[in-house]
Amino acid sequence: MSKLKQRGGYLISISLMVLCLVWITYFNGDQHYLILSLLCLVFSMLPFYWHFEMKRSEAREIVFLAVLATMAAMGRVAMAAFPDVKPTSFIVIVTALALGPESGFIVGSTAAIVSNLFLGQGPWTPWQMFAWGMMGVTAGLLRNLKWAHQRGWLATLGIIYGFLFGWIMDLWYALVYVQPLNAKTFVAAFAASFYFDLVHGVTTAVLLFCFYKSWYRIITRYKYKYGLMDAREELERSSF
Amino acid sequence: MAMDANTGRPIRHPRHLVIEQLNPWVLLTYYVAVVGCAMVFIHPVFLGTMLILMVGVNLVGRSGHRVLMTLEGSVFMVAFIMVLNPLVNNRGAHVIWTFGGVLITVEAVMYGLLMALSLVIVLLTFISYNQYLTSQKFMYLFSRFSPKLTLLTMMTLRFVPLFIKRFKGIIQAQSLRGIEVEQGGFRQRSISLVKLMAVLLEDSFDRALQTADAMSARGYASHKRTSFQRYRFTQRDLVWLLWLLLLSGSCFFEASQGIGRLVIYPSLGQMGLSVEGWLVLLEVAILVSFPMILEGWEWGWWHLLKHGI
Repeated sequence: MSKLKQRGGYLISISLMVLCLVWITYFNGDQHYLILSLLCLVFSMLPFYWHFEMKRSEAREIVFLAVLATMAAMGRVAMAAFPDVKPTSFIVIVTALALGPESGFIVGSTAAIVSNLFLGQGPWTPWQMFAWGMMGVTAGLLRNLKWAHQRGWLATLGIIYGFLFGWIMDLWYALVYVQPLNAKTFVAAFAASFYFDLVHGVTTAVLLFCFYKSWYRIITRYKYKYGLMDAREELERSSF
Repeated sequence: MAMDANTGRPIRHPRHLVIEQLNPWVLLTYYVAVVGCAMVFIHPVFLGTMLILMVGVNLVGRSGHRVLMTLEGSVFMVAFIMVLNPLVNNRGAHVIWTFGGVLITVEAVMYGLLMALSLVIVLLTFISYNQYLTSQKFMYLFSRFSPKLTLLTMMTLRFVPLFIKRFKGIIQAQSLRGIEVEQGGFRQRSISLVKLMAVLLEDSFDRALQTADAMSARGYASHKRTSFQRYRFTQRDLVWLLWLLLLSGSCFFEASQGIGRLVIYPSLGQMGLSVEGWLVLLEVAILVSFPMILEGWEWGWWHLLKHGI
């Protein structure tokens, strides 16, 4: 029973995804891009939230994540005075590389939702939650690779993430308001936001190149010092 | 804007509108219904009516200047939608212009215009949403489903103004050591800014983990939690919720029958509305002007009672 409760998120998501596929194939669901896209967003985020909600965690872990999410959200809220330095993506990527995909996801999506509580919600909120959340997940999956911690590769990664983030954010209006949806539409949407994505990517890349080491060290130090996340198991597994 | 970034308190409005006293679920239903209508009724008369009413709703909430700001900020997206639709779409019977194999048709231009109008209505709806569905109410909506995430979000919400305050202190202290974030070239400033953010990170970790230990000491996560509910669901909320659900339900049903949706492809249809169309338009107008109806209702009762006495 508890196993079922643990896995419930996956089961719901997968079964609803299958229902969506049936809808697209047999009932002209492909006419409703907006509903489908929002459903896909929800289903892809639900398992992560479900797992986070169901697992036992100490107050320390929640507070730890809250601090990181605040740093990321502050990157958008407080840096209005410094228009070109928006370290949100940088903090999400560093967190994910230091703590793993789940923490990366939680920090990314919480930063998106909280910064929007200050800056104003809009139709873009779920897309930002998704984009930063997935940035955390994918960066977290790379953390066991050696090259993912080298500055040069990290800078490339930063630029790639800048563009991927921008492209996901282009989707929310291209999907709904432009018809027909073809490659031309997307190319035009991506071209229109090229400059912003480039600035975002380069900023993230520079920050990762210069400050990755020190931030990574701070986060891992606190992780081991207070035995957060899976630090204890990691230490037990490692041999001296 | 729901919160003030400097003080971390909700921005207070001088007047209390009825809509601010309703249960958050009623508010959420209203906004979902309005956004749905703006997406579904693709017809110039419908969208024009909704636009005027939405501006009215924002004026009732005294956020006229935010409307102007939003319109200014969304010029780029609106233009993008209006230009791109005719360019990528060659369908339609009435060709206005051709160049280099690109056909510009009346239908595609019309579609672009209507879509841009729909986007503007959605953006205006979100101004009102941000004003009435404050962060407190937003958290209330989700606290039942996932208490842990709500705690995390609440804490983050509190930390943002706290960290900004601490960050200002750190900037002042470090400027005595010669690390300036307000002077020097862009490179210099950015580097010292991120360095100071690392200081803030360490400082905040120390303090926050102490808070966490205090929480554990007081029994956080020791057993299942109860939650405090700030907003009650009163009879008035029930009445208005049913009203909204019935109205929006019938609107969406009529829309699925094709009423209030302009036939654009393959050839532009009739703009004129049938009798049924006008009725649906009336329904949509009543649905969208919900906050104004609430105000009018209270105003009417107040004056009626005053004269009665």
